[in-house]
Amino acid sequence: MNRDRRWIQSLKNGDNATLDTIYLQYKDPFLAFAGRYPIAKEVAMDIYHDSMIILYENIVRGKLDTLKSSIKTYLFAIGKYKIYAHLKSMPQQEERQGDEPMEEISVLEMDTTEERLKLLEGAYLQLGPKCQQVLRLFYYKGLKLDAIQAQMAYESKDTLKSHKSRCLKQLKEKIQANGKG
Amino acid sequence: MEKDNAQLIEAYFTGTLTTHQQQQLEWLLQHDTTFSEAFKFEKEIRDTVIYNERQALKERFYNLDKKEMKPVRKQARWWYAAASILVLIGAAWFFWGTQPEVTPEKLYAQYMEPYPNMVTPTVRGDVPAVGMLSEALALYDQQAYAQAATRLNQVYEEHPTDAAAFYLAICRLLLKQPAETIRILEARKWEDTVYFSPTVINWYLGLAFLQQGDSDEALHRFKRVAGSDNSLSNKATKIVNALENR
Repeated sequence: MNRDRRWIQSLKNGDNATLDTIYLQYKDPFLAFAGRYPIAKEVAMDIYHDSMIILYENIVRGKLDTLKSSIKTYLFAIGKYKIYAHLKSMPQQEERQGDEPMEEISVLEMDTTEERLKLLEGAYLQLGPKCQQVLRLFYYKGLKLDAIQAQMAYESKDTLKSHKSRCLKQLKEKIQANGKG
Repeated sequence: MEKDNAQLIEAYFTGTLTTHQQQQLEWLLQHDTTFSEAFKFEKEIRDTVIYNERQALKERFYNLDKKEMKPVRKQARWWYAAASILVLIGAAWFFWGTQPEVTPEKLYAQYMEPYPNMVTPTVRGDVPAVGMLSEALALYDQQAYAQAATRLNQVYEEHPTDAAAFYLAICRLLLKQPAETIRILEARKWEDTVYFSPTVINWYLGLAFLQQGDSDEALHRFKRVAGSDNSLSNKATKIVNALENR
């Protein structure tokens, strides 16, 4: 458990080499676990990638600061949730009686279509690195403006707010300029 | 007002909205077009940032997978080849001299695992299970197979569903009653082919025949699994090879 806490702290500090370690550590056991379910091997691999992403996002967003189980148990719980979701989405699957709710797992859901996301991403990648970092810390890591101000050493919270506002304005202009607005 | 709206949006994206703020947000979204458009735009930007980060993570994982499969440098291949041949010669000598006989019972012990509870999975922190089937499968999850079998038998008599039949068959196998397992699995016309596909049924039939010591029938079943596109096909291929090379 101490190792898990160290890993969580490392990832929160931005050490993504730890992510590689976790990924390789649990890949084979996860695929063996997924092999017990009626899913193709390629699907199991996709589910492992998705599960690792959800694990990572929950760690960096501070959701696992008080994790009582191990990282492995949590990762496998995510995997089980994703496997069941995949099986439910397959055709000929009737409503099952007596289905119990799964352990709550926090997932960042997206409402925007993939086609639109690819277009918007192009404009986002044209922003300067500081703008991208502000937006990443706010929208992806879910940090409050106070925390972002401290991390990026802005003079004041108002300065940061103005900069974020300018970044969004720039982004809007780029989207419109690219004819995607 | 602008400041309040900005605070609302910040609270939303940092997941710290109070109930009162949630109500304010919903009111503004319905009655203030400017606010609604600005909010919708920020949601799209949020999704874009998430999408970008996830693409980068997927690429990172893909590169890790590639590195794991990377071939050795050309320079070292010579040595690896020579070492491999020596190891193979040694292993062959050891194998033919000392390898214990592969028996159906040993293959059963090596490959048998209970099928996961797909119907009512027990997860820490869940609400207490309800219903006879749920109670029976809770016992199954706890590996209390004798008690689970008794309950499942009662369930099956009242509601002869695929789930009740299947898990009862697995319990019988784990209780060393393969004849019962075979009888249940072969007699039923399986309707739920997602969780209890022909491949999964054949897999457990194969295991039941192995437990009985009937290699021929087991081989017949595992060959079907080996030929499928299921994740069990690799294991089935190994069993087929072991049975054919005895």
